[in-house]
Amino acid sequence: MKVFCLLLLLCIVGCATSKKGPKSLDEISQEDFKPVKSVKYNKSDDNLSKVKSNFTSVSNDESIQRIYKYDGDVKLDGDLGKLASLCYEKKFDEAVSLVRKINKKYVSNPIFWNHVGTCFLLKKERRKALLFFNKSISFKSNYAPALNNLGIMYVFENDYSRALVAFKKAKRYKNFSSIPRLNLANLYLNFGLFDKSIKELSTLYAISSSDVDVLNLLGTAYLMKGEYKKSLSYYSKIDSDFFEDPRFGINYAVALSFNGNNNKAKKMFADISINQNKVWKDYYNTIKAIIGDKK
Amino acid sequence: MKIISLIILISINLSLADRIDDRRNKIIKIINEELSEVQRLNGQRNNRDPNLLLRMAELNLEKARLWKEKENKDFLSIPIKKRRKLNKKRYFRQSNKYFNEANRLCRRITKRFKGFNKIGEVYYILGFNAKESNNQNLAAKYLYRATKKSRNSQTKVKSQISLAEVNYNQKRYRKAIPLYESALSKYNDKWWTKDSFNLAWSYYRVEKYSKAISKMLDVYKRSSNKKYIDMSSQVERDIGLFYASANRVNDGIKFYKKIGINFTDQLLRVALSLISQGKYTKANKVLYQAEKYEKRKNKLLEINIEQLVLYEKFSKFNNHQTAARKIYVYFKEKKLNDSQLKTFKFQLAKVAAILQKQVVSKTYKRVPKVRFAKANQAIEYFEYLTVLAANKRDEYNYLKAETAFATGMKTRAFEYYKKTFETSKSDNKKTFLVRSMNGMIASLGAKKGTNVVNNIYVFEEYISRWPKGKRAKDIYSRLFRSYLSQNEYNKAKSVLERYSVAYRKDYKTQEAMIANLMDIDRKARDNKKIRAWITDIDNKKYLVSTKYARKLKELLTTIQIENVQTELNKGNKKVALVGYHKIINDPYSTKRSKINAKYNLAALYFELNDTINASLWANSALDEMSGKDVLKFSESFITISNFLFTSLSFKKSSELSEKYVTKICKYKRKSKRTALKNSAFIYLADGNISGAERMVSLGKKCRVRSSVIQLIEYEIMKEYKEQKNWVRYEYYINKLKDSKNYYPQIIDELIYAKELHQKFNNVNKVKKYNTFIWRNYYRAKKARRNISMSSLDYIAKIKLIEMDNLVAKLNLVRFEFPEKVFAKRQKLKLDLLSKLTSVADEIQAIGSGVGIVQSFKKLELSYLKVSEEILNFTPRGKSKEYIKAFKNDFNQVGSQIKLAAKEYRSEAIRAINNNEILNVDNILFQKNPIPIQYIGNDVFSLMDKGGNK
Repeated sequence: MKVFCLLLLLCIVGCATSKKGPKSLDEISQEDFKPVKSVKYNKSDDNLSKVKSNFTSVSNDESIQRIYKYDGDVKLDGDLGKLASLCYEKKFDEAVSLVRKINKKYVSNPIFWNHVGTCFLLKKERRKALLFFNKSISFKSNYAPALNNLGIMYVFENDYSRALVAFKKAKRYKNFSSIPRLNLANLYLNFGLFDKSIKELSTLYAISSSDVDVLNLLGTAYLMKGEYKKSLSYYSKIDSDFFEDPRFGINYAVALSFNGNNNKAKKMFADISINQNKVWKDYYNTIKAIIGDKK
Repeated sequence: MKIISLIILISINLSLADRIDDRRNKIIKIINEELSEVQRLNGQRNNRDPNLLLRMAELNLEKARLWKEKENKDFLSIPIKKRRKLNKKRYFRQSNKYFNEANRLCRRITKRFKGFNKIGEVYYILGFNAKESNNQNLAAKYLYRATKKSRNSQTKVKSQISLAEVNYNQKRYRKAIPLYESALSKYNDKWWTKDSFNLAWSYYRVEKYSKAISKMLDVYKRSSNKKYIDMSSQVERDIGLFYASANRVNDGIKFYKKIGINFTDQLLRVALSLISQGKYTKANKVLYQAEKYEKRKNKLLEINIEQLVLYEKFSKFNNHQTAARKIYVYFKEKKLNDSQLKTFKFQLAKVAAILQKQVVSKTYKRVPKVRFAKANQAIEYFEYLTVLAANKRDEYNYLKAETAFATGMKTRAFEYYKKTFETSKSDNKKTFLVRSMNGMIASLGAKKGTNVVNNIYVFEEYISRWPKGKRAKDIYSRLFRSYLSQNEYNKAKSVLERYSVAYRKDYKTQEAMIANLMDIDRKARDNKKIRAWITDIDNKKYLVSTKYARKLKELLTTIQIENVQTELNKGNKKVALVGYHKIINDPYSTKRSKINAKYNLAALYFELNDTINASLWANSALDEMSGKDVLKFSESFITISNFLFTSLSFKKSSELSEKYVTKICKYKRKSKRTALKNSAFIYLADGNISGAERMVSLGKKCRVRSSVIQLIEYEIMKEYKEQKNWVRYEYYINKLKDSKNYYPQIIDELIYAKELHQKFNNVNKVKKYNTFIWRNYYRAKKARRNISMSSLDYIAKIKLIEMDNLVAKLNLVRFEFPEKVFAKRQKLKLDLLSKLTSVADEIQAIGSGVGIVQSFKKLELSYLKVSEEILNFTPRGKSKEYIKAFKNDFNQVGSQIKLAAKEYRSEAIRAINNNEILNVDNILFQKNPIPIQYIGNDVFSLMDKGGNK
């Protein structure tokens, strides 16, 4: 499915960009002046429908990033779909060409400008991303995706207070959205605010009990809270392959240990590939020392 | 033969003269002899005999006469020139001597012998002598006495005749008449005809015409008799006048006819005579009759000439005209002699002048027919004069024109002026060239429904001769209008060209002419010609004001643009696009047309979604547009700039905005700061810091409000920080550290800078930044401005050091006995705890997450530790009861402190949760055996869609 998508995109983009530069005067016709019909914001365009993903179920209609991250499948249709695909595929030049071609069509469409912002963020051009997220918001001040993405930008700048505000705003304007809640829960948990995190995660868990991040966050949150059994119950729902990742494995090991299953904890701990996520290294070593010492 | 005859004749004359002299001498000799005898006798009588005295007087008189004859002859023989200079008396000395002697003798007689019977003769001699010596009054006196006293009839008659002559000569005709009548009735000698002739004239003079004519006829009749002096020729000469004066012309004609003399000659003479006497009516009649009977052309001409003179004197101008016409015919036949021609010219000129004066004056204003007749006559005369006096034909043509003009005959006046002008031109005379030109102009001006052809003729002639001057200015304009009215545009243009040379600096007229001609080209939509105008103006062929030149260019712009604009308005955008390109490529397009085209191309390429061309033409248009125009099209430029931005052409977008701001720099507009901000942010986003810095400079130059400039500077600073360009980063920190808007935010950067310098061990800088940090912090706190969490954390961390110090102090204090020491130490510990709590309060008041969490943690741990120390302390060497009692007392204290520690923990957890403190130390408050950490940065997810929930 993903391959099909890619081929389709290549064809479209290739066709669109086969001729470089503007048309010559002779090539221009009266038809070319025909005004582009503007595509306004439409709720039906603002979700991802054809998604196949086992691990990101809580946000399958909201985030392509998570689908790609956890190796899911998504069929992206239309201009907006093409743009998003090109950005996540990191085909930025083609994405830029596409934006140049269709920007008038979506000139006042916040979905489009959010995609453009996302594209630049993925390209690590944060200032440009910020400009386009703001542009998106300028057309729909309560547009949750753009607000959420601004929060992500603040996270990158280590400005967590602002990120918190942005995620909260995104959540407030889109009460039933998942990503802002997930980001909020994640932010809270990063700073040990497990109760607040649990509150958000409970909602998400109610939506989907199989989302791997939701499960991991819940397990960690309850672990922080000291409810080890409950913690373990969430960890146990996660595919064991994920525990190689320190983000999943370390605290799972701790949970096992706190639940008295130190051997399994040790075994699990041994499977963690700390090189996958080096930010966990210090913590990994701390925990390793504790679990390793336990008899 | 002739010579011989002459010699003979001279010889005869000479011999004759000799004989006279001889005879005179003889007579004088005889007289002298008699005089000598008489004088002897008189002497004897002793002067008592008046007869002798009278005889002596008579002899002296006779002698005087004879001498006078001789003296006369001698005197006249002297050449005139010499004679004029001589003393006449000297030559007549001898005769005068005898006259005086005669007079002396006569006067002696009249005195001494009053009763002398020949006293009449004596007076006659005295009278005669007086008459000879031209003393008329004295002569009249003596002669009068002679007529009265004379007893001798012959003397009496002689006296009467002499006295009559004296009176006649003195024009005392009424006195002369009776003397003549009396004398002539008494004598009948040869002089009778002559004296009667005088009597006839005397009658005539006193208007006794019948007597005069009768006497003349009598004289004429006797003149045929040899006995009398022949006066017939004089009678023939004068009797015509008498007849005419007596209104008996026919009788006169009969008289002349009878005697076979051409009477018209006489009539003419008579007429002249009458004219000289002022008897014009009579003269007129005579001349009329003369003309009637005269058949000879030369005589008729003479008559007509005289008539002409007479009618002029008589102010009979109609008759004058008739005569003049006749004479003019003779002139054409070359019959006039010089004198006649002179008179004719004089008469024509004089009468024409009089008539012209009358025409001009008010007198005949109310009788237009008369006025026109007079004017026509004057014109006719002037016309004759142009032929008669060809050398002055310009003047007479001019006078014709003037007369016609004064009478209101403008068309004719114009023609005459024109003729004058042409004549003067061909004769190369200036006087009437100028005047006739003025006349023509005046005629044209006065005429209704002016003849354009005439206008053109006059104006062309005028400016060909007088291309400059006040009047010429107006003439050029009028000529220009005339050509325009005839649709002769090339000629009208030639007028403009000449005008531009003559009046180079007169913008206004040139502008008006150009406007008229251009209007025609404009209506004809002839852009080439309009371009040619503009080229000429640019090349200074015509001088117009800057304003006009600009307007002209605008006109071309309008024309050039309007066709394309029409297509654009119709929606034919492809055609418009091509049209605008043509305007740009056209070397004759005005700057303004090109600007307009560029602007429209930018707009069209914008519609075509063509970033390259939209940017190219928008920039190009901006380069050439004035700030004022740019303002008018602000919205378009901003839209194109936005379009470039949304098309991800960041560089183009920011550059266009920059150019836009540069153009509208001096204007106070919101769009200026928006564009400035957009440009700077896009430059920054595109990694072009120098571009953003340029915008800061531009913003300052363009007086954009400082808050906007500082915002850009703040972002530039952040960018430099990201790029680790510490020099520039520090530069902007220092720039913004005191700014009203950014001093609280800049604390973060001051901290960062301080830490940087700490790394490089730049002590002074660290000190400096530390000062700035605290200064800005207190300033912001005092002003209740928002301070970033990281800044607050920094401040809190410094304060936490104070807590750490207190904790260290606290840890140093150990419980020991004796009891006094313990009590002292306990007090110290509690005081330190109290201080610690106070400091914690202060830190928590900062509002920093780190401060709150850490301070609570430090309080909890310190309190817990103190409580444990108390609870665990057992005094050594004391009894069990003492220890028990001691423990009872102090365990309570320890428990209370422990409880406080617990309370701080709860408070910390509450504060963390309530304030959502995002601090990694939060994990310290977990109840787990080990703090559970979580690092989920890679979980933060982008949101691509709003979702379907």
